[in-house]
Amino acid sequence: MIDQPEMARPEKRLEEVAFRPLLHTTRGWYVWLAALLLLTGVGFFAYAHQFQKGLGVTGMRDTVIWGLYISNFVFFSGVSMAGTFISAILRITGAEWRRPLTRLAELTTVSALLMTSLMPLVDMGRPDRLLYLVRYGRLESPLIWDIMVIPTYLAASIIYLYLFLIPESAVLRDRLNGKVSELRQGLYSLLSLGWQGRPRQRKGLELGAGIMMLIIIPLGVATHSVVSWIFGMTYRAGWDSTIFAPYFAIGALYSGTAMLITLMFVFRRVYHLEEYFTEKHFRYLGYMLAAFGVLYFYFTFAEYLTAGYKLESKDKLLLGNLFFGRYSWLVWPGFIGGQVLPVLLAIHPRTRTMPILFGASLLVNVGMWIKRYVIVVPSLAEPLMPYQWGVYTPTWVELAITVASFAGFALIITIFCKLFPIISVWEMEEGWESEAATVSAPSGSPGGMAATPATISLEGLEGSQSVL
Amino acid sequence: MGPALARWSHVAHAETQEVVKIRVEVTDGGFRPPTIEVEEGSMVELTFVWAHQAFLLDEHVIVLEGYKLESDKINSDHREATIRFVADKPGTFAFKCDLQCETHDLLLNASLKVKRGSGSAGGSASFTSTDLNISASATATSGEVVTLTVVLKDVTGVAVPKAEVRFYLDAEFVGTRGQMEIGKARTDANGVAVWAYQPTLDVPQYNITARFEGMGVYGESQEAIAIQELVAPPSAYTVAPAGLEGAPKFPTSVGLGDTAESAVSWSVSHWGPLLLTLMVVGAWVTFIYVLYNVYSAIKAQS
Amino acid sequence: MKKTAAEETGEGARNSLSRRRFLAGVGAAAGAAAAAIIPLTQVTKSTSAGPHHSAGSAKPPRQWAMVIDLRRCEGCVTTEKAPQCVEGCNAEHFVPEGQQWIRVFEVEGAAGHSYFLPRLCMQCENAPCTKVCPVGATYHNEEGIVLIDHERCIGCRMCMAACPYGVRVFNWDEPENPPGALFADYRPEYPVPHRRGTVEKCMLCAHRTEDGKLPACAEACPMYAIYLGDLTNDIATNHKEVVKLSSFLAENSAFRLKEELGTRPRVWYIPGHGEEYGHDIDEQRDPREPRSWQELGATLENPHGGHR
Repeated sequence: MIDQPEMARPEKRLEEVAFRPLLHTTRGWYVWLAALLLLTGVGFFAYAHQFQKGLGVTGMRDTVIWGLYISNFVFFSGVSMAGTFISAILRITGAEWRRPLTRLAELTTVSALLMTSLMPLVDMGRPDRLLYLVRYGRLESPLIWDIMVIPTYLAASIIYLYLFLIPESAVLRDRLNGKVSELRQGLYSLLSLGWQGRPRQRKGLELGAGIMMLIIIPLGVATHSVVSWIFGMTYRAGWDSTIFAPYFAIGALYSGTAMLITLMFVFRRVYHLEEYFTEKHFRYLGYMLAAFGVLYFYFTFAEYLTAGYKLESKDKLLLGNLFFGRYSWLVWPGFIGGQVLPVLLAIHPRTRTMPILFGASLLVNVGMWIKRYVIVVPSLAEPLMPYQWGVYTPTWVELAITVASFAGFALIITIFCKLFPIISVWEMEEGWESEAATVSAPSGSPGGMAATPATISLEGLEGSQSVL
Repeated sequence: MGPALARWSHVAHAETQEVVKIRVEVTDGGFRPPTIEVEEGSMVELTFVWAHQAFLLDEHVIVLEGYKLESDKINSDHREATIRFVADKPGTFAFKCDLQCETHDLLLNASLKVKRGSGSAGGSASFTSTDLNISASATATSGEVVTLTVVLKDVTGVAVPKAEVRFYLDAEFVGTRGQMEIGKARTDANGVAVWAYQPTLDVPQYNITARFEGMGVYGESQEAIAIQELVAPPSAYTVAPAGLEGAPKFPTSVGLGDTAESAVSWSVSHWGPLLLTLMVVGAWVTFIYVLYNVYSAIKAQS
Repeated sequence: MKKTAAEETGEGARNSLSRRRFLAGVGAAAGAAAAAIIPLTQVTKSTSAGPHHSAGSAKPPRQWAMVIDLRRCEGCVTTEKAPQCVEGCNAEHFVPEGQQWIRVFEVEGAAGHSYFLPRLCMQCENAPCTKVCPVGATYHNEEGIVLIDHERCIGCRMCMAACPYGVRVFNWDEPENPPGALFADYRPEYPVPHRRGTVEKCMLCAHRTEDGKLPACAEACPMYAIYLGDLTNDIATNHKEVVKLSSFLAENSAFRLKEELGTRPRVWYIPGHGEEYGHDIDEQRDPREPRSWQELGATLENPHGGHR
């Protein structure tokens, strides 16, 4: 090992800040947890009511057959993309600045995907027949594509999150020894699988993580494609579009990045992570938000221009009602507030400050939720035959379950943060080590670990090829 | 359409009938006279005379609407054609040239008015009765085409040309019986009409009636024939499932088992979902591989 | 410590051996899985055919179609009753509250004329609904009728999203069934009792056609506007007259709804505006609200006893 003072100051500061939430629980945390549990509980109660009485307790009827549940489904699937992007793509490209963010990003993905999976179950008319999806599943159905792809993406994300938790669990197992309960100590021990940081272990982890990094990207794209095809494979106005798959994928990148900025800002405040979630991170994520926002705007523009130029009957009716009729009160604020304004804010250096970016990200989250609602409901409400437009008024059941889903999303993250640091301590330390190694030890040094860059990135993958 | 008419043609009256003879010229300026009038029930002999001064190459076939009568062609060589009919329908009926002739536009405004008659007055003309004879190319079939031949003559044995003959089949469907019109044909100059019938019903015997409803001076007549059905005919309808060539006959949609679809053609038509499935299966295989690899690397004792 | 090259290759060789073995095993498993997929999907394909699929016979099966003669439909306004086709259907199937499996729309045509359009399930040959059903609960039977197996439907409503004619309805609440229905022998051809959380629609009275009877709507229509047809035998009837289906359609310029979508519906319409019953083109008359099966007094033994 390179001759370095034990626990140099940056590592010590990181430990303090990162481990504090694991070791000390504030009253505020309990209040927060209680609120989340309450909201989730109300959601369960609402669902129990629905399970007993049937979907008639919702506001959905024969015209608007899908409402808040499916809007949430699409929204959460969108949020899940960010983690993949940050962790996988940025890891592959070796962007060092992403280090503090990776765990938060992966966690967001996992939590969002869990909520994504819940929503269609809540929407089923016969949840008692859930297993029929496996027993009688038909490959031709877009729903079955979702059933195949989303759990696969979820599994990939969990594995991906877990792989990077292995060394972290080892760190926690070693450094929190005696400071946490036996149960927790046992948990860390178990999850660490006996990780000691040996080269063989590192190589194995590198390889595994490298493969997961690569596979999780097409899985992410596939997820948004199959979600879009639930709508895209029908004849409805607004859904009958060939570009739905990339449209949804870009939308997911946009909304996922925004959620990440939101959470980053919150954690920075609450956990005092100013040294780690720096202005640079906000700036870079701000660039990404602007880039994805511009791309998403391009797709939106292309969609509406193509439909609005031809003014095919069903599109004319829909566009008229979206922009000038019964849904305009939602569409314009959603569009301006969710798509235009945040991009402008993120583009300008003046407005790309942390608080403003946080505000912009909130706007994006709200705007994108509205956008998902606007995708689902008006196309269903539009009459297919000469009858009246459908009316959809969500009931307390749907609202409660929607709120509960957001609470559940936050709850999973909250509980995770009680057990694991939100910043990947071992990755940060490793990054510092390799920095120090390249500074203090030019080529030829016998220092084993530090000489070979042990960063988990594509270079590491290449380095491990010799062992294969 | 309705139940088969049981009665046959009117018996011709022995006494001579009063015939209203009208000549209408076809001139360069149109029909002359353009309007003619007859009493209801009278026997009419309407002669069209080709009388062009210019347009010497013009030819005409005059049709009388309502009575559905058609004259022979008139031109510079054959200058006269006559249609005979009993004016049994009151009303105003147009007559015009049916060919694309030079003076076509000038021949569009002529009409025959049949005045509603008092009824009790004499001279109610009667129709010349006709005799219809039907035969089939085969009296038994296994679902293949049967050619029906109809010969239509009047009582004196003279052929009735240009007559529309309709074919009806005694059919029963979902508890309703009736005579189903299966086709029609027109008699030629010899009074012969030929029609090819493709059987579609799955019944042991086809009872086909050919009927002539009457035209001009001719009264109606009909005759029936029976054809045995040995084997059920093929389906009158073949439908291919969406997107597949050479597909089974019955309409299917994906998800219907029991079709004669091979695994190959199914795979080809389901290339999209199969690719997705491949990716998903590949992903899970990779997960197992990665987890095993990482686990064994961590647990390795070196 | 850094390993020597020999150690590394030796260790690598040992590891790569076991890794190779593992890879081979995994590869074989993947190959087997992939090979199993195709017959597996064939299996799911056939199980999703619907549990009441009967074996094919030598004769080509009938292919049901419907023809609605719009020259005769005037919304039952002149009869001073609600559209009888709807009431007949409601009674025959004990159609749950709020649902109409056949609906009569008053349409304003492109030329500004108004006419009545009874719309039922189109029984499309290229049906979007059967394509998207995840569990194969909706399927074509041999005779071309699109049926729903309510014992398999999971209530995802994807078929309702996919149907371009909006013919499908859903049991949002517990549907009221006639007394004794719970013990009735449920079949997709006669979906009684109705179940909560499943999708419903017109099934062309499959239970009646298999008995040699006209669908309830065709039987109920006082104007004889609805014909049941058989494409295989090229015949149709409205229980007054029997016609050759192909000529009846062609001679009367029959059309289908939303033809350009390529769904190939089995329901044809003969253009008109009720003129055979004196309906003028600019007369706008609202059809009455059809009564439910309860109001009609329909019972399991005698669905049409109370009315007509």
